[in-house]
Amino acid sequence: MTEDIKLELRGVRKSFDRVVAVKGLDLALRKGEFLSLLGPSGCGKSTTLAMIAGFLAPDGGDILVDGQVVNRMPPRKRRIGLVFQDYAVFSRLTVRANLAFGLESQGMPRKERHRAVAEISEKLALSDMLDARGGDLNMSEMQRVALARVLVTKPELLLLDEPMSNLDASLRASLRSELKQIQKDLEQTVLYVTHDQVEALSMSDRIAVMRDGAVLQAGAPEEIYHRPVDLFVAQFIGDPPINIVPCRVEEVQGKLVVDTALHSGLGLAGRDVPVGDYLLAVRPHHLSAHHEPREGTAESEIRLVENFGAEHVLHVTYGNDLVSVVTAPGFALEGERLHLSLDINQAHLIDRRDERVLTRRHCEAAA
Amino acid sequence: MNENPLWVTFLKRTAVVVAMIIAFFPIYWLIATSFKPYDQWASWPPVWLTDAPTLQNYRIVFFPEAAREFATAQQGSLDYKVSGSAWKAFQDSAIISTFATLFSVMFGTLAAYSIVRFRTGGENYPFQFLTVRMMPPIAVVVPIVALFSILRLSDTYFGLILAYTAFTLPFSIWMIRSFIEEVPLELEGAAMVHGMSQFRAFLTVTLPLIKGGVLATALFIFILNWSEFLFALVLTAGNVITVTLQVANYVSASSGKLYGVQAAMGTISTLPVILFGYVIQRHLVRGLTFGAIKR
Amino acid sequence: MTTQDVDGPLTSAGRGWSRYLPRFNIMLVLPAQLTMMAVVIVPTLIILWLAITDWQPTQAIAWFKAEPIWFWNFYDLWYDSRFTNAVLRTLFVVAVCVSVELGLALGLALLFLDEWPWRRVAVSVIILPMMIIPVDAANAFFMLFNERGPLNHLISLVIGVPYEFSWLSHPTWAMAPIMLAEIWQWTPLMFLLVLTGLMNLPQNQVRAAIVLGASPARIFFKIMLPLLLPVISIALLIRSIETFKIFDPVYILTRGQPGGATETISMFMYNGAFVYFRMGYIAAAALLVLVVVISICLALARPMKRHG
Repeated sequence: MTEDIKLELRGVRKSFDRVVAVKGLDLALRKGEFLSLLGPSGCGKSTTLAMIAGFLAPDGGDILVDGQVVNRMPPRKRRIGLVFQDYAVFSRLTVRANLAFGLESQGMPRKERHRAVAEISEKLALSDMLDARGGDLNMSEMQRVALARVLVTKPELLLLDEPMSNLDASLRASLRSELKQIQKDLEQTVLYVTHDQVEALSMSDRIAVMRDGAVLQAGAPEEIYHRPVDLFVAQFIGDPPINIVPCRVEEVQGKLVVDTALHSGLGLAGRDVPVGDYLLAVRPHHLSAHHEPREGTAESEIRLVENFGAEHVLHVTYGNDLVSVVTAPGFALEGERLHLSLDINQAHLIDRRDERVLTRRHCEAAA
Repeated sequence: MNENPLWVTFLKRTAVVVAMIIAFFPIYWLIATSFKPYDQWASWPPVWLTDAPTLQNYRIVFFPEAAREFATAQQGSLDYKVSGSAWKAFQDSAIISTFATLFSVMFGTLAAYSIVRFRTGGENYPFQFLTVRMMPPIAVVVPIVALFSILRLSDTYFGLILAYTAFTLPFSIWMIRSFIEEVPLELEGAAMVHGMSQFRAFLTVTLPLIKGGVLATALFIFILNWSEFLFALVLTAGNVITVTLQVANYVSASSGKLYGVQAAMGTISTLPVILFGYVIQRHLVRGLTFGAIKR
Repeated sequence: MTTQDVDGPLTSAGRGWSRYLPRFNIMLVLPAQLTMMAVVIVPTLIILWLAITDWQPTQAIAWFKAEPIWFWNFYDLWYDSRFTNAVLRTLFVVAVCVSVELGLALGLALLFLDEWPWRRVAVSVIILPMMIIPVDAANAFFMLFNERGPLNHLISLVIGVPYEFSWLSHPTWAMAPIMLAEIWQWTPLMFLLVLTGLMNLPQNQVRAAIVLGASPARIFFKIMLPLLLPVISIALLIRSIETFKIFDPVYILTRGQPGGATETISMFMYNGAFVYFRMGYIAAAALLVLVVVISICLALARPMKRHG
C-alpha cells in the first residue's frame, strides 16, 4: 500500500517573515490519482506547490516523493513535472526543442527522443506546429506545449499550477475533459492547484480544500460536496453557492425541531444536537419552489432571476436574507411571489462558534 | 535556487570583491598620487600609500604661483607650462557644459515631443540624429574647424557650446522621447477637452510627469559635456579651456608629466561626474542605449 | 477628441495662438534640426569639397580657395600603409575590447543574480570606472603602466626580479595599456546592460528548465543567452561604435607612438590634420570612414529596428 503513494506531505510548514503561509499540512497522493488542491487566493496552495517542486524549502515537516524524503533535494532531481500558470514555454526555442528539452537534459539518445516527441505531439495535437517558435504561439497552444513538455519526461508526479486561468472560458470545458482523458490514458499522478471549484469537482479523484495554510477537508468530490466539514467548505463548493440562514433548534414534545425565518417545526429525527441557535446550510437544489401553497411551504418574494439557460436561479426573500432556488426555465418572474419548501434531510447544521458542520445519521424526516 | 553549497557562494563573493578591487584600484592610484609629494610621483619602488601626504598638488592646481615657489624649493628643476589657474578651466567648463546641456535638453524636448506626438519627419527621422553618434567626431572636426574659421567661432564659448549641443542631441531626443512615450496621449487629450491647445497640454500635463526623466537626461548630457576632450582640444586655442584640457597642461619640459598635479586636477574635476552619475544611476542604462533598454 | 486626430501636421488639435502658425510640429524640431545642420550637415558637405583638395592650412590659402586634386587623395589613401594599418588596428581594438568587455560583463552579471547584504555597494563600486572622466582615467593608467609604476612593481614581486618594462614605448605592447584602459572603463557599462537584461528575464522559463532537469550550464546557454540576445545585440552595437571612435586613451597614453604603432583611426586623422596639417588628405580619409561606418550601421540597425 505504501509503495503506491507517490507524494506525501507530513506536517509541512512554511512562513515568510511573520506571515504563516502553510501550517502543518498533511497530504497523501496515490499513484495514478488526480488530486486537486483547491482554495482561494492566498490560502497557501501555490506555496505548497513551490515546496513540492523544490523552489522553496519547508520550515518544518517532510515532503516525500515515492517514499523518499526530498526536502533538501534540488528540483531537477525530484522527477517531478511542473506546468506553470503562465506556461513558461521557451519562447526562443521551437516547439520541438521545447518538447525535447527535458529528454535531452536527461541524456536520452536522439532516436528515442524523436520517437518520444513524435508520440507526445500526436497525443496533444501538436504535430503540425513542431517547427513554430515558442514565442509565436497563442495561449492554448502554449498550454499544450507546456503539458507535452513535462508529460514526455514521464514524471513520477505532475504538478499543475492553475493551468486554465490564462485561457478563455469557452476553451476551458473542452480542455478539462481532454486533460482528464490524457491523465487517465497515461495513468499520470497529478496534483492540480486551482481556485476554480468547478474544475476541481469535474476532474479530480480527490479534492483537498485549503484555507489559510491548512487543509480543511480532503476527499472525493461527492464527499466534499455532500458532506462538507465546515462552513467555509460548504460555501466554497457548489455552484450556485449554498444558502446559509440562521436557525434555532428547539425541543418540542420530546423531539428536536428546527425553526427558521420561514419554516418551523422541521423534524430533526436521528440527530442529537443541543438546543440552541445554529446556521442552516441548504443547497439551492434542495429547496423547492411552488406556485401554490402546499404543506410545509412558506411564502417568499422573488427579487432576482438569473438565467443560466437550462435552469434559472431565483433569489428569493427568506426572512432578512436572500436565498437561491434552482428552478426550470420560465418558472416565474421577478417581483412574483412563490412558495418555498425545504428538505431538512439534505440540510446541514453548522455550529455558530466553530463553524463546523454537525454530523448526523441519515434518517427519515418526521413531519 | 537558493541552495548553493557554501563554498560556491564564497567563491562568488570573492570574485565580486576582486572585481571591486580592480574597478577601484586605478581610481585609488589617482587619488593617492594627488597627495604625494614631488619625489614620490614616479619613484622606484612606487609608493603605494604615501607617508608624507601633502596638499601641494592641489595648491598648484588652483594657485599656479605655488608651483614657482615649489620649483625654487626643489632647486629650480621644475619649469612648467601651466598657463593659468584651474579656476578658469572650471569656469569655462561650467559655462560650456551648462549652456550646451540647456540647449540640448530644450531643443531635444521640443523635437522629441514633435516626433512622438506628430510623427514629424516620418518614422526614420529620429535615426538621422543617431547617425551623428556613429561617426567618429574626428572625422567631422576637420570641416568644423574650417567652418568655424569663417564664422569666427574658433576658440569661442559659443562654438564649443554649439558643437556639444549638436553631438548630444541624439541622447536628449531619444531619451526624452522614451519618457514621453510612457505618458499616454489621453492625458493631453483630457486637458485639451478643457480648451487647451495640445502644446499647452504638453507643457502643463505631460512635462511635469516626465520631469524626473528630463532631469536625468540633463545630468547625463552634462556629464558627457564635462568629460569631453576631442572637440575641446581641437576647437580651442587657449582663450577657452576646459577641465579636460587643463589636465594636459600640467607638463613640464624637463620633468615630463607632473603626475601629482594632474592627479589632483583629475580627482577634483571628476567629482561632479561621479556625483551626478550616482544620482542618475537608474537612468544610465536607458541613456546609454538611447532609450532602447529601460529597466 | 480622439487620439487619432493628431497624426501628422497639426489638424484638429490647434487652438489659441498655435492656430496661426501652420506646421507647428515642424517649428518644434527646428532648433534641433538647425543645430544639426550647422554642426553636422554643413560640415559633412564641406568634407565633400575638402576631400578633393590638398588643403594644408600652413600654406595660408583659405580652404575654399584651395586647388582641387580630385581623386588623388583617395589614391594615396589606398596605398598609405599608415592609413590601412590604422584601420586594421582599430578594427582589432574593437574586436578585442568589445568581446572582452562582453565576456567579463556576462561573468560578472551572473554573480549578481542573487541578493546579499552588500550587493548594492558592490554594484556602485563596480560601475565607478564608468563615471571617471576618460582623460583622467587615461592619466591614471599612464601612471599605472609607467616603467616605475605599480604594475611593474607587482610583477617584480611575483617574479622576484625588478621588472621595469616600458609598456608605453614598446611597439607591440603599447596597445595593451590603451585597450586595458578602455576595457576597464567600459566593462561596467556592459555589466549594467547585461544585468538589466538578466533581471528582466522571464523567471518561469528558467524555473521550468530547472524542473526539466537541465544543468546550470545548459540553462545558461540554451535558455538564458537566447533570451538575452536582444540586449546583447544592442550592447554590442553601441559599444562597437563607441570603441571604433576611441581617441582619449590613445592621445593621453601614446599619441599613436611609438612610430605610429598605436595609431587608431581617430589618432591617425588627428595627427594628419593637426600635426602634419594635411587637412585635405584627412578629409578624404574622413569621408571614407564616414561612408563605411554609416553604411554598416544602417545595415545592422535595420533588423534591430524591427525588434524594437
